[in-house]
Amino acid sequence: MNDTQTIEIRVPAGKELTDDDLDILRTACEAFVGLSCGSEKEPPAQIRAMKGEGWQVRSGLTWIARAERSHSYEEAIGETRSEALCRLSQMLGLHTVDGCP
Amino acid sequence: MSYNDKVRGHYQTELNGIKEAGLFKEERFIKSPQMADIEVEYPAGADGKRVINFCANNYLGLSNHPEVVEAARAGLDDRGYGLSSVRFICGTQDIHRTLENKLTDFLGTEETLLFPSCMDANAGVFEAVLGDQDMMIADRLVHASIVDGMRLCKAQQDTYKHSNMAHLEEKLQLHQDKRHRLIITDGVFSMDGDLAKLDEICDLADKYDAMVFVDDSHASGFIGKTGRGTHEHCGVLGRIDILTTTLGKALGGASGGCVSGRAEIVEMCRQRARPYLFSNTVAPVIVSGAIKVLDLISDNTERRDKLEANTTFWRNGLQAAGFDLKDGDSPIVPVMLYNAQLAQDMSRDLYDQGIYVVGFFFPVVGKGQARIRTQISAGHEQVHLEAGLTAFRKVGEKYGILGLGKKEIKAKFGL
Repeated sequence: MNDTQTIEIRVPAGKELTDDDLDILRTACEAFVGLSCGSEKEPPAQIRAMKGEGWQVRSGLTWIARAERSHSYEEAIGETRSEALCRLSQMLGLHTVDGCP
Repeated sequence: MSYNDKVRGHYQTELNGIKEAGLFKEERFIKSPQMADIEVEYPAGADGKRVINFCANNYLGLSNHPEVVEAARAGLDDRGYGLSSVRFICGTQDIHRTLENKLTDFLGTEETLLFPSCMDANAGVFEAVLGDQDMMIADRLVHASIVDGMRLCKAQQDTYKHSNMAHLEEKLQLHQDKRHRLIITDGVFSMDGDLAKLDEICDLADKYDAMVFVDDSHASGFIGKTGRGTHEHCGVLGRIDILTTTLGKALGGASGGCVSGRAEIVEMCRQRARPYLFSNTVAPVIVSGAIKVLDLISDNTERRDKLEANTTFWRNGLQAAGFDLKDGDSPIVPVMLYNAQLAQDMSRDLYDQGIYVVGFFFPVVGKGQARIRTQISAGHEQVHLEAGLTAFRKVGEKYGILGLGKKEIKAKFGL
């Protein structure tokens, strides 16, 4: 039996959704589900364990930007999408060439 | 998981992909010491062939210098083969301190710390001195070891277009909100052999409250009037905060590297740089050889001056023959061919003529920037340089590229 519940979201008529748009919608919905369905309200065991070892642990929603080319990839996170993309763009500057020994 | 057929197949496919892309690297076996004339077994199993080496980083010709070899031998006798320890447990001999002090004096800095290699120095230095509130701003053509070191560091990172001071200034303005800013550059860039504009970089650093990092691996020992490096050439001795360099090129060519610079930064590396903390000490035989190298090049500038004269002769000879060269003041003299296949074909033909050079092409250098990188040494005598020029002329004639510039070569061979 499949007990997964599905939420349907209406998109304004005529609006063409890009892959980025879909990522945003899916991530936002998953975040709301996580916050409203209770499973994230108690600190999970991993957080308790880390705190027990003296770590101050914070977690939250953030943006991640990722660029891939052949075998190379870079990822950057940011509090806003533009911040993540800006940091990603800055990191990619080091991928101009492999360089000579 | 065992190393089963599926795993083996994965790696075989990866390796085939590297071969199909023309990027598979093969080693050539040298059956003689490193010097101008060497004997090479290539391909594997072939008879040894005598060739003139124009692709070593042996800029001062000290890799097989008799006094260096003798000093290394004496070090082996006096202090043994290995120390079986990292530096901070029981791997520091008095000769390590001697070498570090000599490097400090030679480079004109405050303190120096040895690393197993400059790759290790660059891998460890950023993480040791910067945190996530700081910003690293690097030239886009810095050495791969710096790129890796930056990746290992939690500080934020940005880049500026190669040697573009206006772009660097923009980035320094943009990142004024960060705790510390570190400008990161090579002294001499290994692809083109061009020098960083360290005078302008230091001025910008002063203006925007930034520190300056220079990897001078392709400069230490011969760039500048007394060979101190790019900072001497640019008149900024004492203004570089962090300088890394290698003992594996001009300074004897064995292995080893260092972080040299502000005393506190070097001490931070001693306390926190993981390649220093978790790698074995530099072997006594190498330390002893390197001390002799520094003595030799501190006594006089004879070898550095010979390298400069050789480079001028070589560059002028190639230009007179009609080759398209990258401008520069260093003994790295790239012969521009633009087309990757042409670079490979010409380097193969030159090898047949007894000249050992290597073609570089994308992704090692930029697309459409294929070249043969020649490297000159004080170990080259006139006869080597003239033989090299004769071979280059002959091969250049074969491909009909003498006198052609970028546009014509591209039109003739494509990209």
